[in-house]
Amino acid sequence: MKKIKNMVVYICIICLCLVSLTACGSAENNVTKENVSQEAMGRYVEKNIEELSSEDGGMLAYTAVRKDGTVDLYKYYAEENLTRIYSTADGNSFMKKEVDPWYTKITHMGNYYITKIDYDGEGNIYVLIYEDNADSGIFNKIFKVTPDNEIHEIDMEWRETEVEDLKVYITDMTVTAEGELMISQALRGILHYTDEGKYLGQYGSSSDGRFTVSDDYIYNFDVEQLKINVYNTETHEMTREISLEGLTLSLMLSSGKDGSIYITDRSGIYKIVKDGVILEKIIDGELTSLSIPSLHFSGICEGANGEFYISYSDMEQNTSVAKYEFDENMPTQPSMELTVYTLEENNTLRQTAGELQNKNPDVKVNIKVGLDGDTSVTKTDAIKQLNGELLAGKGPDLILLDGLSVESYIQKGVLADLSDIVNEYMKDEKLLSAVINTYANDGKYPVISTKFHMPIIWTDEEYEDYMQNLDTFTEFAKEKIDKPVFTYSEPGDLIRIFSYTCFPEWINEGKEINGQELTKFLQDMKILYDHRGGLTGSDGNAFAWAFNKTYGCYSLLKGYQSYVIENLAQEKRQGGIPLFMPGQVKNIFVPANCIGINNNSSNIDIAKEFVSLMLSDAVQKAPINDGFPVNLNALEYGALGIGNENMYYAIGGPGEEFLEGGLPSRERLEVVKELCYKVKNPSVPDEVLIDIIIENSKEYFAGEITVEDAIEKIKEKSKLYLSE
Amino acid sequence: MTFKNKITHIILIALSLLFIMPLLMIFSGSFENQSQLIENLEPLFNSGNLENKAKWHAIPMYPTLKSYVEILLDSPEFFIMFWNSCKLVFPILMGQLIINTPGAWGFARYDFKGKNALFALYIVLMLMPFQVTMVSNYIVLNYFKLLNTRMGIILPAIFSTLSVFIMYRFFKGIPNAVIEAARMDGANEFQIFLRIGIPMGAPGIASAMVLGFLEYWNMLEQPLAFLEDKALWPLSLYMPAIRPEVTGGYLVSSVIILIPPLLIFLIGQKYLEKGIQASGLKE
Amino acid sequence: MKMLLKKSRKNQNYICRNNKKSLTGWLFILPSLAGVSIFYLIPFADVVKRSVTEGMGSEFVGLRNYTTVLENEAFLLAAKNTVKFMLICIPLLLVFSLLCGVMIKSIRGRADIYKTAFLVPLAVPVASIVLIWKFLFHENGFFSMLAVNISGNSIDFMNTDLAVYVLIVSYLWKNTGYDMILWIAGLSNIPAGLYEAASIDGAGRIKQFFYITLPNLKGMLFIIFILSVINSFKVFREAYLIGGNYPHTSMYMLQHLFNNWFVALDIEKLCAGAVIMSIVTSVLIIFFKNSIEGGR
Repeated sequence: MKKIKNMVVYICIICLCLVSLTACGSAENNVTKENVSQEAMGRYVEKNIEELSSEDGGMLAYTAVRKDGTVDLYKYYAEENLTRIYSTADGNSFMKKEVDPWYTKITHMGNYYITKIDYDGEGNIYVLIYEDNADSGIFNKIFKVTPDNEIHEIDMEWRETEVEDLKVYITDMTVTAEGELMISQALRGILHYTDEGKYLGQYGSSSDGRFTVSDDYIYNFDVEQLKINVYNTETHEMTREISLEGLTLSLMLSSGKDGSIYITDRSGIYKIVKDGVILEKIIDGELTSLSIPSLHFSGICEGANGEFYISYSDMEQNTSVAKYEFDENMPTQPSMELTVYTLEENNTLRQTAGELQNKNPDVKVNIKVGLDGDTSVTKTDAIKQLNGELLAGKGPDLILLDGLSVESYIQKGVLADLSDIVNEYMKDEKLLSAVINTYANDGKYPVISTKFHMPIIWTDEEYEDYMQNLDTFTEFAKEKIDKPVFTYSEPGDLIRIFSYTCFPEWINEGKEINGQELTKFLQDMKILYDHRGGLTGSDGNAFAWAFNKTYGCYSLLKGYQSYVIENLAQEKRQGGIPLFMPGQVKNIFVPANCIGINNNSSNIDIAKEFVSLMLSDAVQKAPINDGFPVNLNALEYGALGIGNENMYYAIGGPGEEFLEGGLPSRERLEVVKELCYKVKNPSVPDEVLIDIIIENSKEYFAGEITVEDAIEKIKEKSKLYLSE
Repeated sequence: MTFKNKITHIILIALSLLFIMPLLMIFSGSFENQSQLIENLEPLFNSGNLENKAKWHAIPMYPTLKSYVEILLDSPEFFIMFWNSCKLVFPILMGQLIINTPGAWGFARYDFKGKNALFALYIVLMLMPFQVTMVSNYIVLNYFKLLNTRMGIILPAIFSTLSVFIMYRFFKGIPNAVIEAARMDGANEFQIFLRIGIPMGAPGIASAMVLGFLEYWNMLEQPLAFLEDKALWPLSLYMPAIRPEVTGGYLVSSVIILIPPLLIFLIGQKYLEKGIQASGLKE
Repeated sequence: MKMLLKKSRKNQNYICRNNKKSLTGWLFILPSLAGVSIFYLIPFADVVKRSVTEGMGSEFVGLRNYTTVLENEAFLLAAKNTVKFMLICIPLLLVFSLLCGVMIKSIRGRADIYKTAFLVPLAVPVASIVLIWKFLFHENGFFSMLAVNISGNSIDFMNTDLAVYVLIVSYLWKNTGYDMILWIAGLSNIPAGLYEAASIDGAGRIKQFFYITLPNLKGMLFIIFILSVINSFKVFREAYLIGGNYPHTSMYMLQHLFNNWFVALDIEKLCAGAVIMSIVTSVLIIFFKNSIEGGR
């Protein structure tokens, strides 16, 4: 009996310990389960407000919120030179009306531009205007308009800065209910005035003009230390700080009810209650347009019923306003989740995700980045993680294969066939077939390359014949010994640059190194290396060409707006054209943004919609410079250079030089566009092999061994890699 | 006798110094000024035979606590990861104690059909490197919904056959006479295990625990593969890739990471000694 | 009469006890067995399954993967290197750690300090030690500097056949303490009485070592051997951090290959290779075990 009893006791002890151990673990599991199974309800749903989009020609100019919660949105119609107001009290109906007389009066008083309009609690309107008054250095005036439409200019006790050209420059103004003015002045900080212009005090001295006022406190963003300084409005003393770790620098502040404030950045809208320090995320940016890279957000305000308005603008100056209203019947997290995997951060994916979510509010796109920051995760580790998931039958729904060994994934049948998507587009010939067919196999498309890069050399037209191939190029370098053709200093640099246009020749079908071609290549490289001249990479590629220190310059073009400096160099030289980089193969392009769908995905239909969106006009036209679009409409559109007129650059180079100018003109864009149509041969240099080649040819470039020896070494070293 | 003793001592001292030296280097380097470190170690990051060889100063040129401050005060994630390591290692050791000790005892003192085959199987299973079983482990963990949880690392580690293996040997070494005597006195199997087996096998259990601690404190592959959530990562995954600029933080985190195992040695040794003495007294 | 009865009852009890002992044995190992089956046996079975299929596990192809692997150049090279490495280091380690253990056991005075010193390497995380090895063995590192001062030529360990020595040093440094602890524990289990009796009989220290110490350590030898084999596989992490995915050919081991196959999604080759590896290692171990126990 005793024995049995002891046995039982022992077993009980074991079980107890096991249970407590598992309880530890499953307690954690329970927490997460609860969140999912209880199906938490309610979230803010984004809705685009039709009347406020700029499709009717009216650009959003200002947002002004009255103290009773009414929101006035001013739209400016360039064609008619008119401004109209859309006013709403509840966020549902928008009343369109003409501007009040004071508006017209003020704008006609002089060369005035209205920067900000705000109200106090008694219906007085305050208008901050900007006047180009460079001589006096005082750029602003503030007007007060009483309810009976009387306008007076407030005689402000300006506190001038010491900078002559920028004595008084006001970036923002907020009016409290009591009629006190809070203005942010450049190079000074946030200043406090009465409605008669009397100076009352200053709040700290931050270099960032973003601030908001809520109840009796001013919240100012300290951009250097990523925190908010909170000041008491009466005493001007700082009372506390709120840390903003984890948010991006492009955030905006706005005020809320009951002394709370809101912080908006790409990850969403956060609320901080009065006297609080905790950021409560109330709107998840990833489910809204906040996460779309091509959109710039501003003008966040809260309406009377707790709804939010955010104004968006894109590169082409299109504006829109979205309303965010809390819907209790929507599940907090959308029911369907689509995972997209990418090794490195990619803005096109984010753009497409935003578009997809807009169209399908019940889908959430989760972009998983393999290499995110400098932890101990190496590229190999990240790939192993991905592969582990795939082999286990799980894994992401979509994979962006840039940086991965695409062939392996295709060979193992991991990826689904996307030919229906391709055929849909190709029916009307809307895609650049050379690029689309990069990974086509027997009519099947396991991977679609949705963008591409081009290796280009910029040089004068007269040298075009020398740029035909590697031989002619080497001849050119040998002849023109007064200047290098472009800047390079290490053999490694040279090899990498030319690898794009030569690599396909180096590997035979049988996965062996083609000794002959590689030998020729190395010999040519050596000639080029010996003629490199005295310039180094730090002399700036395009700069060197601009100031005539080289015959040309090299760049890997990734879109119509990716070659700013080269364009400025063209301006400076008043000449020069882009040509395909010479090499052993002609008309090379580098496929980019290569997307594939996991065969095992349970959401193949939505995944296919995602891919289709990646090829659509909207996403391909978006100004994300990660490659030229394969969508022909977008390719044409990009060459029109719309919106380019407004951009102006002044870029400093090594030494005292600098280049200035705008973005490429339509003519120049056309030339690049022509090249895009000519691309034919894909090239994806194998990193490992390139490293082996560079490493083992060092001695050859230093003149210590012959080229045959170098090739032997390379073959030896790469045998292992290729035989695996 | 004494002469031989002295020689042995000298040899041991020399060897010990050799063995400790890397530790001393890490320790001294952690107090070194970051820019000095960069200057000293830069040649290591460039390939090719350079004139300028890398240096390491035994006593720091510009001693500073800056790297320590950066890690201890400015990096909250360091502490989270530290506690994560603890939260992984201690449950694993507890579990091993409870489950593998009887397991080893069973293999060592009892004969039953298939025992040898099973034990051989245990050994074979021990030999598989992680790369190979990673995917299969992944599937199993996925099935039990243990992915991305602490238990998903703890449970497989508890059942590691390695600790069974180590303790087996020690249990086997216990003289049969003692056991038989106990049986004659009327003790049942369980009591024999508790009162005789565990105390006499204590060196083995202690060794297994200590070695287990080391293994799991520095465990790299499993958390990397199965823990997606960075908030659960243990300290062993903290160290960023080796780059010249972060060598200071690198060295400091190394020092901190190795303090617990060192402590365990010091404490565990006393217990090991006691256990060995106890079994000696029995004689 | 009474005595006879007692005897027979004792026999009966003995028989019952045997069965009971069997059952008890099972009970003791049951928890461990259960867990091992789930977390180790099943994955192993899965590995075997994958080694005979292709196309992500859908097609059965018999031994085709095995032939592919056995003909693969990279595999043969890696296998050769791995075997070479093990043949050099394991005996080296066993002998060295045993000697250290014996030395420590024999001295009077505090042995703790020495034990701790030898154990220190185990505490140092792999990522940290890599920096030190880099410092010592790099072309621009410490030993190279010494070589320049002596002979005028620098030594580049990492890119020549000397690369494997870096791993051997790393392995010895790290594992001596590990094995030494076990040797010491094993040495402690040898009854002191045996030595006393031998001295009385006139046997000298060395004779005592070979005739008492070594035979009694046979069991321990087996364990330590197996552990050393396992630890020799672990040296991969260091090799990887120092040399990357494709280090010098002398340092290229089976695990590099498995790692790279995994990255390339060649899971079938990976599993076939792994099964081959475990078969070979198992045979080796059984052979070793028999030769130890045969000597008994």
